[in-house]
Amino acid sequence: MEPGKISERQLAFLMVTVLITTAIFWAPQLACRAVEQDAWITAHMASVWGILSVLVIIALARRYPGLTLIEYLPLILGKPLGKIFGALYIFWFLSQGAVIILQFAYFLNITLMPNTPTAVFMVTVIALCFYALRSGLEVWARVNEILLFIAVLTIVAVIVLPFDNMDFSRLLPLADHSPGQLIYTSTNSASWRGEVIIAGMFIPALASFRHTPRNLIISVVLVGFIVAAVEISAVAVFGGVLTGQKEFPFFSLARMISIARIFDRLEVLIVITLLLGTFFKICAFLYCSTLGAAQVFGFKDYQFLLLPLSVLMLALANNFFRGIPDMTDFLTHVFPGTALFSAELVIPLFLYLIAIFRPLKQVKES
Amino acid sequence: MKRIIPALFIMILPILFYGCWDRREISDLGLVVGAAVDQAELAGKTGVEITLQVANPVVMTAGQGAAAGGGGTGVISGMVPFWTISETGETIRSAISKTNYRIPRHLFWGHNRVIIYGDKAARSGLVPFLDRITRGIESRDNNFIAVSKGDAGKILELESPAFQSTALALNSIFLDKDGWQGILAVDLADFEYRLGTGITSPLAPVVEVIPQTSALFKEKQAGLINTVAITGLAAFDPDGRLVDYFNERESMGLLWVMNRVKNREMTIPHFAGGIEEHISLRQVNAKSKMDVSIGDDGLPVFEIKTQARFDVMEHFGASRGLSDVSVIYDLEKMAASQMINEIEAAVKRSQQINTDVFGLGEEVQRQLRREWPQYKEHWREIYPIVNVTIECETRIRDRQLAVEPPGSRTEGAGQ
Repeated sequence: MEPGKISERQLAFLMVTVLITTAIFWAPQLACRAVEQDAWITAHMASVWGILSVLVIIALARRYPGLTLIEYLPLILGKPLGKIFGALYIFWFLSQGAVIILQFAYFLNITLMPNTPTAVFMVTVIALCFYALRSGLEVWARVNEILLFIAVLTIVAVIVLPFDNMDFSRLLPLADHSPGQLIYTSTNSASWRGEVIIAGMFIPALASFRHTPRNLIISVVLVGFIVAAVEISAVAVFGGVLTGQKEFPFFSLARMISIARIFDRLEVLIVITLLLGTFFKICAFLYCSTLGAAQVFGFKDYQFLLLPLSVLMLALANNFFRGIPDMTDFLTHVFPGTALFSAELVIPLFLYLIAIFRPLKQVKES
Repeated sequence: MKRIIPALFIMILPILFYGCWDRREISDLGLVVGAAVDQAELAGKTGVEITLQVANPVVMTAGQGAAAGGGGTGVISGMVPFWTISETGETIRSAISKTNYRIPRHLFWGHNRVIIYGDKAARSGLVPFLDRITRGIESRDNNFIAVSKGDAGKILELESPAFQSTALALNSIFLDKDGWQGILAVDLADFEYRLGTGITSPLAPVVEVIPQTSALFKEKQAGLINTVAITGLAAFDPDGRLVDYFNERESMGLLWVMNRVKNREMTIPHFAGGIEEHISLRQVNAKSKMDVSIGDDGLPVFEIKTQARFDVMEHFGASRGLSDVSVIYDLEKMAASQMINEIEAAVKRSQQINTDVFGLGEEVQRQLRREWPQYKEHWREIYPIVNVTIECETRIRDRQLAVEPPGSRTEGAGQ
């Protein structure tokens, strides 16, 4: 169905963008609120969950080569149930996209333009994504390949530049919280890392598959390192308790940068990261939902679904939360349930288990 | 049609290029450079009194000033570059919003440098007074904070012809003189970190209005004989209530232990042939660490080890001595004992007013993780009675460009 082909590198880069973007803004706050100075450990633990997701989606892709997640759902679960789950996945992609749009819009509202209506940001970004997706997967995957460097560079700059204010003894005592508590907190961070499951929608569009398992695992671990670095940096500057009390620890971190009184007020760097990252992340989820919708309902083309689905995503975003306290509450308590423990890990895992016990031949006949 | 639509589109686009939707000319802004927060009485209830020192950008931009004033000095005659405004309210924000009735400028907090809290506000607990500054998007966590003995508003209202703005003067002191003698610059993030630990006591430098040591005749005539100065440190309890002040000597001891000493000079007595002379030393580097162990009585015992290197800055006397290595060794010992005395004074004071300003509790938490839970709940009762031993190691690196004072006789060379 997808006419374009992307390279393995492009997929890996796209996954890094998707995994890193909103996670570095929200995960430090949530993790530090729960386990203070040990937040960075949970970031690495989340990578383990992420690798599990990668292994499951790769195993499924190996079993059903050339098919997307939505396409092999009916083959595994039978047609009616498979289609229902397909529709649920589409809703999940859409709602994830809506939450990402809101995270983007609220961030700009809080930090840069408090008087601008939130809707302006939401409409602008979705219009941009719509335009990008119209040009096809190949195009925006390649743009991402170019722009990811800028985003990562700014992130690294923000992590390193507040070195003046860092006191690494604030990271001690190490692992002061019980393993259970750390694992529980890691599920939150892992819900972002588990978004790697959307690779299942892109794998059929790959020109080759050989290095993809390795690439995806590296992406997940790399993102784990970057998120952990943000958390280490924030804790070294603010201390564990204070980091958890900040709405955007990453943004506050950038505001602390003041080197020799010349490099000052660098929070614009953050907005660059946010703009680039969110754009591609919304593109990825919008792409997944349109492609998935076309496949669930058996259309030959997905492009014509773009407009209605982007409007639907916008409408969802507009009605999702009342404000940022709602969103933070959602991300703390509900997000792991809707993401890691359903769409991202548990459902694919069950799919794989069922697929193992279902002889492949029989499935193909039906 | 294919050409008309893009053409129309291009014609519409320039409308967006006006770009002045939310424009704010610099002359419309009142740049807050310093804020003073005091506790005030509001109809029997406690409220907030806020005093803002605001820069007037019109006066500060030289080009405009020259054009309007014609003098070319950059200052419009009769206009002051800084002014203050004071308001009261239930919260800091409500006090600030009340100022809108009286000032024609949009207050901009992005350039705020210093926040000064009054003694009364500090004693009642600083936590409520900190929230607005951390929450605000324009204000920053690297603002410096200070405590004033008496009303904080007085500090900003003080007229200072030389520095123009007392807030900016304080900012410069904090930026350049941090770690000199007993000066400790504390920014908001630092203060809040210590509050967040729940066991370590936050610190803030104390600002006072004191008489100028020397004033020009004109200043004396105008009655401008006061200036602002840093005088010691204020120690808070972990809940953010001001407990008491550290004097200069205790502050200096504190800085050694906190590893915040940057440019410390000390003067030590030197006996040459029964005559007391003085030698000034300047610290070049210093490092301090704390070791914790469990004592016989089950309480933690602390060992503070400080190392420092000094340069000889001045020998105020006429006798020989500095060419003699044994004299230098003596100086080292004297310097070490003076450091020990200072640190001891700081420890004693902090135990006396029960404020763990050194972060000893945190050190237990880091070094004796297993034992910490049993102290955690009672740390405030334990802290005043813990045993602290101090060890100082000093070295004298150089004596700058002179070996001996000029004119010192060679007779004593054989000593």
